[in-house]
Amino acid sequence: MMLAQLLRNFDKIFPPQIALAHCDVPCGIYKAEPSQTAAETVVKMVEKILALPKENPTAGDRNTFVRCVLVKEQHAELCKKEVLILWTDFFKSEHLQKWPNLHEMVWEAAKLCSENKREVSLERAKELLAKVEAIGEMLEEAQAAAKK
Amino acid sequence: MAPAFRPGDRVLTFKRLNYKVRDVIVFRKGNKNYIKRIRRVRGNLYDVGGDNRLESVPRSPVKKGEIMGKVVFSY
Repeated sequence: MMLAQLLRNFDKIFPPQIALAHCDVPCGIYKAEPSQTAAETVVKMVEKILALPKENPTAGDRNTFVRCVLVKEQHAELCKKEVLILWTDFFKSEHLQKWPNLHEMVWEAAKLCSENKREVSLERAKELLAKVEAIGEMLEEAQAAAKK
Repeated sequence: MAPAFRPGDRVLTFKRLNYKVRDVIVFRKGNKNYIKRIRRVRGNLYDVGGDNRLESVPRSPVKKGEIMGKVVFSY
């Protein structure tokens, strides 16, 4: 449509502002469960992949392998997204007084999400779960303190 | 706001004196802009929500002064 094309050309000179459509308005709903479930799924997928036969895999084995890798990838990414939402939208500067290593913990969790996408390592998967659970405990403690 | 709006879509907005239920508006809260649909009008307060009900969750109402405009065209 000509009007659409005209507007897009206009945007090249005057770039439009970005408007967010996802639930990004402070609604106060922050939970540890989505990131923890995603991390648990990564652990479970790694266990399933490692349990598959290494020699003479059947077509069914290969199918399971591909599906597990896909789910591991998706949930590692989901875990990263959920952890970063807690970091950017919930935790505030005052929480750093109680948890001075907060930024480092989130960074390490995000790094572990990427590593678990690249690797098939039960150790790395369990490390991710432990890190995410620790962040979840901080979240719950901060929320409990806020209610007092 | 799927399926009405997808990531990457652009919208043209115009500021109005008043807005009504079902209008899609762009408003500013904090230092971010948001695009949502008006679900209820309470005087100068507008309750908004996303079209993708599975993803959308309740949010704080929008004041008229926070509204940048109503979406009149998307491209």
